[in-house]
Amino acid sequence: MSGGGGKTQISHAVMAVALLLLLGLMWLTSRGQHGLDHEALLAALGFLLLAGTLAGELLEPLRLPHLTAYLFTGLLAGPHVMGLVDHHAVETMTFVNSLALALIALAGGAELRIETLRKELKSISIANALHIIIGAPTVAFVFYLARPMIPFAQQLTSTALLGVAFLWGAIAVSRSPAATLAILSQTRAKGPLTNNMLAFVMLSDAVVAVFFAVMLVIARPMIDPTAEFSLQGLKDLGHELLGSVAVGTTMGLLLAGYMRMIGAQMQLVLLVLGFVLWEVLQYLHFDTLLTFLVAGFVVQNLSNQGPAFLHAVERLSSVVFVLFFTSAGAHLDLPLLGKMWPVALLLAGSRAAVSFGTSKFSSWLANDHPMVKKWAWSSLISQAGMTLGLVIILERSFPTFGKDLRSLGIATIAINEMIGPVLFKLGLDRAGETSTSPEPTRPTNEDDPDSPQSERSRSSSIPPASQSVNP
Amino acid sequence: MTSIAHLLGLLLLAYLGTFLVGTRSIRGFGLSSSVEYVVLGFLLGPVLGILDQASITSFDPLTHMAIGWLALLVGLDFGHLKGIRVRLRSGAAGSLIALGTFALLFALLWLILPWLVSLAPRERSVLAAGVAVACTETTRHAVRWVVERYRAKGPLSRLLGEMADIEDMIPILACAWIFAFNPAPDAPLPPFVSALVSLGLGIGIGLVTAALLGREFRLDESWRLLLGASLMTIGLSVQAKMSPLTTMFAMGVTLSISSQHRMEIIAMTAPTERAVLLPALLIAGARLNLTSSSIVPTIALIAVSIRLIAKFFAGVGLRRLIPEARDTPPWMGLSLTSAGGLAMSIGLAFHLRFPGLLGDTVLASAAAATLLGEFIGPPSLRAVLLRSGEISSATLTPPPSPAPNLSTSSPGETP
Repeated sequence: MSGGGGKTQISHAVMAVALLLLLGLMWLTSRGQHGLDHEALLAALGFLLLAGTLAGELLEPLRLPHLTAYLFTGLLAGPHVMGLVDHHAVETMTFVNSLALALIALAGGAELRIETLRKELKSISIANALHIIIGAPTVAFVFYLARPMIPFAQQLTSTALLGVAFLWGAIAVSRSPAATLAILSQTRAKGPLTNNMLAFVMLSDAVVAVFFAVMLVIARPMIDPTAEFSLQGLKDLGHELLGSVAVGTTMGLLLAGYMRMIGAQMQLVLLVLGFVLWEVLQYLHFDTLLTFLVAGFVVQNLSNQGPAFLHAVERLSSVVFVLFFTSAGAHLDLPLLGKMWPVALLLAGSRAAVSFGTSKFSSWLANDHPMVKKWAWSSLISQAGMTLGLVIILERSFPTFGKDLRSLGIATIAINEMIGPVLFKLGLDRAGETSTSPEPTRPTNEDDPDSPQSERSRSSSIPPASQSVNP
Repeated sequence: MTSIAHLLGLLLLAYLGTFLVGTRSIRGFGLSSSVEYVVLGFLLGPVLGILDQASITSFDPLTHMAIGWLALLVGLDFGHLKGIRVRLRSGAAGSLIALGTFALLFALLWLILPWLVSLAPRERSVLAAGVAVACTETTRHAVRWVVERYRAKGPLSRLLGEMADIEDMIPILACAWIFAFNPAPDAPLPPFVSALVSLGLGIGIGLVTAALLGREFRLDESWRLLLGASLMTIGLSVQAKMSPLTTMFAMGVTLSISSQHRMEIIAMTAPTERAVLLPALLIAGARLNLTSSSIVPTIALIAVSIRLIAKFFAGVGLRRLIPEARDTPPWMGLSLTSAGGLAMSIGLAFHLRFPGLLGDTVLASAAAATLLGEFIGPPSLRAVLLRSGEISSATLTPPPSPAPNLSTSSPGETP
């Protein structure tokens, strides 16, 4: 139903009627809530998956990304609008997040090829440097100037406010690997813009982690006069990053070995990695995203299992992404956004403007491909899970105003989350990199990892259908 | 660590453990009924205490989902064996055997129960009916396992395969009525309506899903639609205190009949069965509670004994009435004693719906039937097929190495 010529008005009408029926059914059951929380959770998960998929298809004629449809579906079904999915179900659904983020990082790493990185190295380095040198301070400056609009900022001393502004600037240069991959996966985009943006967004994740840690070390004594300047934080970060790279490399080699020698039940292995290993790594204070990113990169570049691996990750992602983004939509705190929208809009707008300008400047300096020069900025607006993670770290680090800062962060992320994917898809469309080829139509033997054909595909590295996303 | 992480970690261990207990054969690693997972769950839960009650309870959403998904897979391929429609005669024979087994088990247990335990009339009926449905099926897995492992070919193999396929319907439908007519205190629907809604909900969402899958089958989108519809149906069914097994079975059958993409859907979903079945069996094993009352193991033992008798006489009946079975040995009914995924799913569904003595007993009976069936069913079936000449002595040694194309296996089969 997506993509090509099979899309008809009848099928859209069927989908619209089905969506209304499902809404009615959920509305009826949510009125007379019976049963336990986990029972409501199953129905909510199913509904969001189904409704998100249908909404994605129904909104496609408007050229909106599916991701935006998922977010809106979650928002409408969530506790603040229709209440079809209650607060508890929304909170419980966060278990999907670790799996989604693991898949995003694995796919992100597997999409990065050494030759692409070599080609894009100059451009990515310049872009990362400029976003940190120009982008972050400019956004920090806007935050400082916006003091009269931010209630908690008025209680801070000028030095403390400057420290908070630095941290806000560091958060502002974080991007959304999730949104980037989801859009690329939907559009099956290929081309210079896709290559450049994929490499930039994935690597900026590690860069921002380091930058944020440095800013935290600098800002802490500015905000809290009792705190001392300490490099312990940087030392811990060094351990965390190096350890993550080491664990990720080992994990990647083990994955490649498993695929080569056994290869069966890859979905199960990915589930275990997404839930179990994610928890273990968090417990051991490793950077989970970086670990999984490195693992995906190792499978792709140090073994011949890359295409089959990417195929397995994408197959699982197609379901998990819908749940991830619909539950993110249901999570959006509309009342909070209603209260904070003027300042959130100012901060989101200034961030977008700075990202636009910095991107143009860095592309000019690096002499990027014309399409990159023109549209690279479009992928830089989205923010989601990673930024939220950074905001939560700030909340914990500064309990006196952390909750207010978190609220402001969430309101700003909400705006970026809604607008960013639309802009990125628009950029890809305009750059002519989105594919018109339909997704696979039939389950083949390659979908069954145990099948002999799949074995052949693995051993000979014949790229399966997923290659369309590859650079 | 979250409960899901806990479960998946254990599942991975179990998966690796299969390499130790099973040899690679045409049906893959493990035993024909996958009962080793039940045993492993029992060891991890009640025996070693690694899986405590709180963890097990936190798996409830996954357990409901697994039960429902397995029923959907059964429904999708219901009435077909290797893609060919089951013959009316085999279907009728399978249904009669299932009905007869269920009736005999129910009647005898209903009569025996007052001597063993003091129960209210309704509880007595639910317990007898619950144990009866859990011990009714002849699992298709085991029949297929033997037939494919020893490359059996002939009219008797086909007959037994077809009968095992149709037999699933009786216990699944019976669940709807047992659940409906024993309402929970907060059940939102009156009993008769609840039973009909169990079926109606499955049929309705099955029709909607078939319409959504449309004329052009797109793999990723179809996955999302099918999984979303299934989760929603299971959730709604469980919320309304109905039988998710029946609802999902109805959805599967409806989808199978009304969608032109039946074969694609089966090919798409079949490989998932093992990934869903294993945790379900593991959880079932961990939920076994043989010590809640001394009568739990007693009733389970009585139930499997009656099951053996019922299947034995079913074999006698088959020999008299069905020409293909005429030359089989008198004990051929024992070849129908294998139980597996469906029996354990029914046990789990009862355990979740009727916690306490009733649920414990039904689950224990299902586990006992599965365990005993593993020892009696496949060897008897092999012997019967050997005597009828459908297994040649040359194929008695299973092929050493596999390379099966599992994507062509029917749903409900353990790859």
